Amino acid sequence: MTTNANSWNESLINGWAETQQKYWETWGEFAKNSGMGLFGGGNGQGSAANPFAANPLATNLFAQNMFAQNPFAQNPFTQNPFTPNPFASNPFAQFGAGENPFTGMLEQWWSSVKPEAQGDIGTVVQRFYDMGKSFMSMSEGLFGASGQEQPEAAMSMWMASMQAALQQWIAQIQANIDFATPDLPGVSGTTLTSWAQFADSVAPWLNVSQGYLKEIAEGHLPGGIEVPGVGAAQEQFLRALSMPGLGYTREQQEHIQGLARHLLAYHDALRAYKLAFAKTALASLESVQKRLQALHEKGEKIESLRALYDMWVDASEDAYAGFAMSDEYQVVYGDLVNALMQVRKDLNEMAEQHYHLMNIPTRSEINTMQHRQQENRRENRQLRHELAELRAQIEQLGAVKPAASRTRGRAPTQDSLPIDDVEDDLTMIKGIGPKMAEKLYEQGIKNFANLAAMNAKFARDLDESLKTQGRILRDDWVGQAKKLIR
Amino acid sequence: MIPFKMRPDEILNEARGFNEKLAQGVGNLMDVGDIPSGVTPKEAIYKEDKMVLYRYIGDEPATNKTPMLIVYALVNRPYMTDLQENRSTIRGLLDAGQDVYLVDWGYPDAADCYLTMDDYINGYLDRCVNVIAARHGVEKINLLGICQGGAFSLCYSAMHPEKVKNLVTMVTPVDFKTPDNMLSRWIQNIDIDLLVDTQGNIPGEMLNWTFLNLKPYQLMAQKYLGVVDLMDDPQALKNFMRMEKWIFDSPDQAGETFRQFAKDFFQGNKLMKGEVQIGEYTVNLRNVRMPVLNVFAEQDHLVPPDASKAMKKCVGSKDYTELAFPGGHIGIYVSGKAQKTIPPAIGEWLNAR
Repeated sequence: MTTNANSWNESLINGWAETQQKYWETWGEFAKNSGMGLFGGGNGQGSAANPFAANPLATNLFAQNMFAQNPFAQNPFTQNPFTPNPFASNPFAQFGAGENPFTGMLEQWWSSVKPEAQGDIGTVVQRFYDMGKSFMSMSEGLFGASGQEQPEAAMSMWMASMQAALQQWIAQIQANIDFATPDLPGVSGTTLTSWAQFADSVAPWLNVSQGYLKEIAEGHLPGGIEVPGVGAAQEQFLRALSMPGLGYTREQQEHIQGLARHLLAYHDALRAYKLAFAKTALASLESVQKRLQALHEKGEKIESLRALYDMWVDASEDAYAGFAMSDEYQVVYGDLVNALMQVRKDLNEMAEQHYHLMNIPTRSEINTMQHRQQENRRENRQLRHELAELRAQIEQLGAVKPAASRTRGRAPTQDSLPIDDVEDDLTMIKGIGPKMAEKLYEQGIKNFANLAAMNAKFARDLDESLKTQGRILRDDWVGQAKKLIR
Repeated sequence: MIPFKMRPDEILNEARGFNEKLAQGVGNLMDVGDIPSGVTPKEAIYKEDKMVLYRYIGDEPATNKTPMLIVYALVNRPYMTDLQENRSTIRGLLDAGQDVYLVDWGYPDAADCYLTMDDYINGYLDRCVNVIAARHGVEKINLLGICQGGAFSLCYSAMHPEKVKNLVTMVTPVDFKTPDNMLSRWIQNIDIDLLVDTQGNIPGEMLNWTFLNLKPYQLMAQKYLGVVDLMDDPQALKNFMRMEKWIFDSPDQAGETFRQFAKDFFQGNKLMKGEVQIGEYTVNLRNVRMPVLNVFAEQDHLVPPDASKAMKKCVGSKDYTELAFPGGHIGIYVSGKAQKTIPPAIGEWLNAR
């Protein structure tokens, strides 16, 4: 194979076919090992099951658009506007209209592996696929534009076409007619795509809400309007939405009007975010160009796709970081989240109204219960904690035998008043042993004065609760105590 | 002028090689099998609701008689500190003679959305501390807090200084408004009340989306490209999957806790000002008088070093030490270099006190 860059000749094309063949052998091996048997487990060599055996890419497996199974298929952000490859001078045009050979084989592989890779692994495989796709789209940028004399020129052309695509996108956003995010190397609009997925999960019909807005607009404005989200049409629509509701369905009308206003606000916020994002993508492209220029000035060359990709990622990350730290980002990001939440809130409220009519418990009712329950649990914990502390204190008091012994033998003087904190050695009374003394301490009876103050009824009750079988009265604890303090 | 030197056949080869590696690698990926959530043996000591207190079992009995409790963040799962045998901060701490406990917050669901910071810190965490102190017959234990868990530990130490012997904080934000704090900048214009009132708990996917978008090109694309080169090594692939599993294993965050953390800490920066109110307490960092070891990562894109270093002028401790690690927010736990330096340094610092 010659080293000349303009030699996209037959031998190279043949080389490409070989590459495909090799790739499918590997793939067939993998399919066999993972027990998928999708292609009869064949190793591909000349096998009829090999999709490339007859005519490479002719039996295009991914003709049935892999995005068909994508739950976000209707989502305008996730569709690739470059599906019809902008690189018209693609040498593989003969293989199939506008197919990207690199991404193509990745997609084909993916459409086969996807059903088998479930759970955690499936998610990771998806990430590999996304990354690989963006890497391959970069390769195609170089490979596909090879009608040029030099790869350098191919690269320039590719970058120029990306720049043009971004500028076009920005113009579309401004006119509110953008329906797709350009596929950029490195991240493929992942930020926007993943936002769209998150937004979908929060408010599942956001992606059709443009259509919904249009329906409302038709209900509010004679003849409706084409795109309710922008410019004078939006103003007109907003005015219509602020008409007071009338009659029996007044409340419902107001809800719908509110939702429509908030949907408009969301689409506005999303547009502002996308616009800022698109401008950043443009800036990252400039940053790539600057780095290339710097390399050129240093006389260095990029010698692999991977090196180019890494440089691209670094440059893009830098440009993005500048954007993400800006005041503008703080505003557009916050507005976007807030607008989404407002829509979600409206949806929740409307849903609750319906549930209420059907006598089905609602989230806000459950919230009320959970809130009260959590407060009760907190209070309960606190009370139990206090109870345990008190119990521990009492036990400590009951166990203070040594403290009691300090007063052993000390006859309380007659003039000392019965202070509850004073601890006497109750075992000095006939009929009270150490165990009984402890029980009495637990009852709060700690000194002779306490005992002496008992009347007959109290003594009987105490006798019963301590199960002393009449000993208190029989042994005359009250009389003994009185003598001791006399 | 484009400084580009590649022949078409080289481009072709590279693309082909990449696709082959990827296809083969995915085969290996299918064989990776189950990824464990943590590798060091442990036993559950105490459970409450979804929270579990674990004690890790070392090869040798701990030499430090003061037990240590690790308090992890509510975002992501604590097994990041115990990913694989030779990448385990917990293993390193055990080897450094510590008696290691860890509080696992679990996965809150919608019914947990009214759990407040008071419930987490003065409730769950305080009871864990009591359980450990009672088991060991001590009044004070060592606390090691990580990231948001570090902020929790700091608050706890300010509210219950009598129960904390030494405080270690790792990648812990104190000043939430340093100019280089991207996360903080993003949150300033968000209506937190609207967010929490509408969503209840904050979905883990939303938090994850936010974290990944701090560096989207590297975190969502480039790193996978790098792994393609390792995909023929099953062990390396398994290790990659451990990390991958961890990164996307994001519990939802209890709504009320997020509300206070976002409003008071991120938006109000009240921790520094001594204005955070948790339950019946006002959190005054001057009460943090026990020895403090503050560990931070010099290339941390989530908690910038300055956000951590602000602790020095806020705490009341006279025995305050900083330990800087040349790495990132996650690398400080999982990198080979961190394994060799961080846990032994923490162990040594604790054993000397």
